[in-house]
Amino acid sequence: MRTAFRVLIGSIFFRHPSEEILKSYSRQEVSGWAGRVIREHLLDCERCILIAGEASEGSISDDLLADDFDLVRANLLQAIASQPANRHSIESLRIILGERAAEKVSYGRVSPQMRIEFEALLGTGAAESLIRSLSAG
Amino acid sequence: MTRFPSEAIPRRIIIFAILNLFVGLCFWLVSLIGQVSALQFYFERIGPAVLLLFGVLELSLAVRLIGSYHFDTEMCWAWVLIALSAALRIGGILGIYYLILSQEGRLLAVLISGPLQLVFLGWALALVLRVFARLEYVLRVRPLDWILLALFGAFALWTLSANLFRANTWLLFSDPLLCCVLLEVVLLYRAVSQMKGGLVAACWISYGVAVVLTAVSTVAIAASSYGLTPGSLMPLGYLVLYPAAAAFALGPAFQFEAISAAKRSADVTRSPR
Repeated sequence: MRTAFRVLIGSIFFRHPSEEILKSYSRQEVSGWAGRVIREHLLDCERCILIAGEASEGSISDDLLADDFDLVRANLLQAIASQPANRHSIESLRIILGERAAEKVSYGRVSPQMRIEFEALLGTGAAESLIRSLSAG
Repeated sequence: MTRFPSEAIPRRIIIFAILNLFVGLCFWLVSLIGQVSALQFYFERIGPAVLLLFGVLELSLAVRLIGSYHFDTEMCWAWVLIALSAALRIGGILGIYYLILSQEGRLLAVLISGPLQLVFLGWALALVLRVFARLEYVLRVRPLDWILLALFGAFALWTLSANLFRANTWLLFSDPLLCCVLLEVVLLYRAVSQMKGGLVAACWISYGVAVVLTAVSTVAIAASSYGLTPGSLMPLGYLVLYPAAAAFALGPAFQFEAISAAKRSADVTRSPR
């Protein structure tokens, strides 16, 4: 199941998803954290609408997600960051705080640690603006 | 790869610094063919005005940056201290070049624009280093850095021992203090290198460049003074101070641009696409 889930997640973010693999897992329900992320964030991502729609009927348990939490999170949120709406914000972040910050935000939402870093280096007002623009996508 | 940040204020400072350096080098070349008064004119008229301009720019930007942070944060106090350091440098320039002062007055001006401003700058950089350490950036000195620090440390000890019973007591601390600040900017450079580019990193790298150029200038002037290099090269040691002053102004300019860009990013996202 774990391998299958990796293939599913991987196929979401590669340009040529394997139709067969997708179909075999499309009837299972995507529950728990990954399901929420897909429903909340990926529905606007054109490439993921079909996948999210199909996967939402399937079933993937939270137990399975436990080990792959970071991997899933990284892949899912990298996709969010690459959405057109957010690309500008990531580019701004790269210009302001460098590649390291852009990588950290690409692989996840602005974590509490990154928020602290933004506030420490830019001041609260500028950090809030930056975080708002990053989450606007 | 992150592109080199080239926002409006820093770009203007860099262009102006390059132009000024070019003018200075032209005056130096003219002095080599016997027109020494030309170089004197540059160092007495143009040079001080340029140093003053860079100092005022650094001060005004640093003061504006103070308001960007909560007053109880270390970064706020770091910018307060940087502003004080810039103010002292301005005071020193005014005292040395523009005000008619007695010998003691000029000495005081040298003191405040030398060791005293280094104390404030070093204090500010220590606060910034503490912020980066707390943000889990690795503060590590590499072998190449140790060589640079050891060379300048040896120079500082040499000048200290050579002038121990001759020069003004407080001025003796100038080179050892500069050595401490050099260590700080090396650590800061290694920390911000982990950011892999960006305007904030450029801010602290600018301070690093400024301090390194100041150290280079100090060594070059001392080498000429002690006859280790030809006297005709001594003006080059002083000329290095101008890019150093520009780099001091670039620091807050990059930080100011970073904060402005962060504030602008929210506006761009809000605007209809």
